[in-house]
Amino acid sequence: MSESIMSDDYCDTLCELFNIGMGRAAASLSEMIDEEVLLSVPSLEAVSYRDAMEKLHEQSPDPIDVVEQYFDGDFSGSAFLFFGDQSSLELVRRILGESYASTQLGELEQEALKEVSNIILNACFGCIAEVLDCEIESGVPVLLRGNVGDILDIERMHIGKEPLVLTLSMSFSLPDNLIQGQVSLLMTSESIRKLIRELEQYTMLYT
Amino acid sequence: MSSAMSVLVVDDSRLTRMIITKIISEHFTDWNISHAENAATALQLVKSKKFDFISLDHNMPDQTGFEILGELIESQPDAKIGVFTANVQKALRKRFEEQGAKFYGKPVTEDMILEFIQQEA
Repeated sequence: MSESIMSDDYCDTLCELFNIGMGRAAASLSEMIDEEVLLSVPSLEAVSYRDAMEKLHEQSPDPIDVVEQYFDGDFSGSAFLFFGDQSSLELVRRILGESYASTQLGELEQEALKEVSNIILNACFGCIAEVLDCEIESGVPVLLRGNVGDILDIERMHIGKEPLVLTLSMSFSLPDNLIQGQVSLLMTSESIRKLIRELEQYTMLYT
Repeated sequence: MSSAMSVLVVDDSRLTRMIITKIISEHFTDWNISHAENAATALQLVKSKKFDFISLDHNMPDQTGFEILGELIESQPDAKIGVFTANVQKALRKRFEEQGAKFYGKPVTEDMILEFIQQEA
């Protein structure tokens, strides 16, 4: 699947940039919760919107918590941080303290979750922009809860009829394995082409 | 550094292997550089060949860099080991440094590689 949109080499390069971004984010997160954050080995897929939706529906058939952050600049699109079952609440509990025992996301919890997502997504944007020497500006994070289909509705996002999806599967967890997340980027076809050109130029420096 | 040295680059990212190889090759044209794209290959290589320097990633698909560090040290007691990882958390850095490995955060730069090689040489 990935070959048709982005070559394995460019996927590898982009994956490594996300890996660095997630590593930096994990270091910040680790400081916040005073605990080591475990990172899985990342994998990246560049797929059509339809394929991405099918896969995400399989992974998350029930309503989920997602933080969306729009980004613009040399590339534009929407970034999503998906949290696994109960992961969002657990993450907030770790940040706010062990005694915190809320069972739903109130205003304070939502703010904490958005801030964590802001750190994670901006670490990824920052790393891509730094290494590829381009500019990416991010918007304000928005917390959404619902089915995957409603959250990734292209009409809502005004992202063109055939957006492409870069899905970075990299989970971050704590030693007791209660928190898991995944990053996905929806980008217009034009932005993906620009990104591929940048990756091509960057990779040529080392071949 | 006069004599040709032998380097093992262990990283599951092809990009990072390319970057490290290019930097070393440009500065030390006669050095011999081997690659391992995962922990298993690295462990095989250190049993069959002597290395002066080993650059080691941490997050890899089969085993982490830290999990194989002891075996690398045991097989190559004279090799200088530098960890180049995106996982820049203090706890991990401390664990590697306690084992005597140098720790560097990605992205890999020329300065980092030269510091690792020249400081350790």
